[in-house]
Amino acid sequence: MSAREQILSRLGPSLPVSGGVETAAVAPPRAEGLVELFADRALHAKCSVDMIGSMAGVPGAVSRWLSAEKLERRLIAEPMDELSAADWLAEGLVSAHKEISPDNDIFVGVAYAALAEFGAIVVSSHGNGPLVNAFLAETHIVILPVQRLVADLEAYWALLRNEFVNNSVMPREFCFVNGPSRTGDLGLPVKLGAHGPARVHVVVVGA
Amino acid sequence: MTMRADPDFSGLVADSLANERLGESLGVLEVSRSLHYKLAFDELDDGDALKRAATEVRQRSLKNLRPYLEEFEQNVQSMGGQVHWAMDGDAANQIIADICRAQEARRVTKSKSMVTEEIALLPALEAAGIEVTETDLGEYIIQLRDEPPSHITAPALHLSLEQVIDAFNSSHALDRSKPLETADDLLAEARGVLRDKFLQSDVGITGANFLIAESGGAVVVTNEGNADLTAIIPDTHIVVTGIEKVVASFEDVGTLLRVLPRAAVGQRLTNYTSFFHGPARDEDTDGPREFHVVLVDNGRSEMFGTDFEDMLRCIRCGACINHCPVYTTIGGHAYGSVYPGPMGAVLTPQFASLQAGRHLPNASTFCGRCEEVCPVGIPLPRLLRQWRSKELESGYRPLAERSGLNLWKWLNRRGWSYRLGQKFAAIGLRGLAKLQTGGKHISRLPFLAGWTRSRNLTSPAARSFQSQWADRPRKGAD
Repeated sequence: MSAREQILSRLGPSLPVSGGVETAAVAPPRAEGLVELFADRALHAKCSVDMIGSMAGVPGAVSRWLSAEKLERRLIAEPMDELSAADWLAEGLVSAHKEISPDNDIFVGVAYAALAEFGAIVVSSHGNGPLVNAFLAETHIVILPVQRLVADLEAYWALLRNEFVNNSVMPREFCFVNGPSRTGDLGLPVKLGAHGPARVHVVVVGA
Repeated sequence: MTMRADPDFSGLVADSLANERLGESLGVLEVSRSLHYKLAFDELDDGDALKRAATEVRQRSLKNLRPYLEEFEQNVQSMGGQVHWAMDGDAANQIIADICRAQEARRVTKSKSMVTEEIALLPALEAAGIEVTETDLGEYIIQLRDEPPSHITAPALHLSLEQVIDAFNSSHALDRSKPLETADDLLAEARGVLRDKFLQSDVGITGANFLIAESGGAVVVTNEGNADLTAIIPDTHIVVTGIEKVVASFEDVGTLLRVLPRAAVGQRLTNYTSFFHGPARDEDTDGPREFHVVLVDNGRSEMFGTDFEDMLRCIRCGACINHCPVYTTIGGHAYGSVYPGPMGAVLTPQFASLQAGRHLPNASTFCGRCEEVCPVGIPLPRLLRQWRSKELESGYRPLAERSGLNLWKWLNRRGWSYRLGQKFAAIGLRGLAKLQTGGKHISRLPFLAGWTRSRNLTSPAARSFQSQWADRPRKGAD
């Protein structure tokens, strides 16, 4: 008997699965005020949050934030349909699209979705570039189109099933990112930038 | 091979109690984690309802463990991944070493996984000539010091900053003109060194907090982001976890994700919650070409259908550990096992052996805090009591102890001998108190000096409760 058979045989007969989809364990947030709830919780998770009207305003918003934080003006930018390298250059930002290297530590990517319940953004391998950039960069700037913001986990599962399970295979990875990378292993206070980004800045577009 | 456990409990406890630095860390843990736990659940409209929902999810998972595992396996395979089944730790280590060998892997990165500690994966891989680097900062630090973890979510809890600096200084090739002095220095150094390890890794090994039957997904939670860097960069990703981790659906995982970070560290969500589904697709620009899941039994299926099945609900949050008055006095290393505290006291006799782990169920006051805080309602004191019964039946206790207990049982089962014994004991103890402290308390018990080394015993009252009760005036019927 293989290990598989041995193990499974101890777990009872192979019955059909019982128990369907569980309902939400907490009350869902109200639909109005989702952006405010998201921003509040993202701030609590030590992100910074900006809100602008349209994608055209993204390079300007990023430029202003980088100046305010006194960060360099070179970045790795995920290709975005509405923006080109020229749009970044117009704001004095040098952009490239490739995997993060040690001398280019600022990554601008587009969120797959976001969860107001936690103030978390969702990054996915389904996007336009290497997913690893979101984890290697020291500064992660996330562009969040507001229509991708959902209230809670239940709403997110519905989105996921609608976009993937019915049509094709799940993305290889998606990840809820709830603020900068942190560690408590070097004592208190907690340190940011353990392996992943030390800064997460969210630009909500269309709010 | 069963899990290793050190049975010298009294020796290990003595060492721990002598360690003042440990005492300080445990004091901080006790206060901060219990506070954060409380705040995190109080914030919810109904934290108890959430915990009941989480309990129900885990109960249903165990009732359907076989079909959920079969569904999970099918879904992983349909995405091009592979599922391996390991009866015990040796089998799991063999499977993992074989995968690494097939990839001609020389360097492996790894994120935190208690199962890999349980099966002693690192020594097995190192024996096969493979360099393994722990990337969770706490695990990395104890790897440098070659010692076991002292907590399941805060493995380097027992160390001071100075000790961590020493570990780095002895192991890293450092620029001596820029010595490491602060936590920020250490962070920068660790980030740099581990960045290189991530980028050069041939195989990435992670654990999984949960497995999702409906999609074949593996879920990993971290605050550092090291699981993603471990899983994405190398060509091969191996997930190693226990067979009991599977749940039905995304909704089930969602319920558990709402309790795990709160119960463990008082956060609404960990900084990273990663959902891994199989190897890279054609259109992906990064990610592993091969995706493996190693499902480890190592004594879990034996618990199924027994008194101990409830323990399989455990989601490894560590809340029981954080709230345990025994753990917060003696720390993790005293348990001599990778699993400390109340959950460790139930799992160690199972995964190691009753003989090796027999002291742990006895190291409990049965205060019940562990059961109160467990987000999936595991009746830990009841399970500890069951281990105590088994231990007594097993005959591992010394003859003197067993004889003493049998005498105690004989004397206290008979009303007359109980009352007589109480009377004489009270007289004797009061006399002792008078002698030692003028009647205030007893500072040293004969024959039980060890017990009174760190506690005083109250001097008994002049009259027993029973005799006072017998003298109460009878009331008429109301």
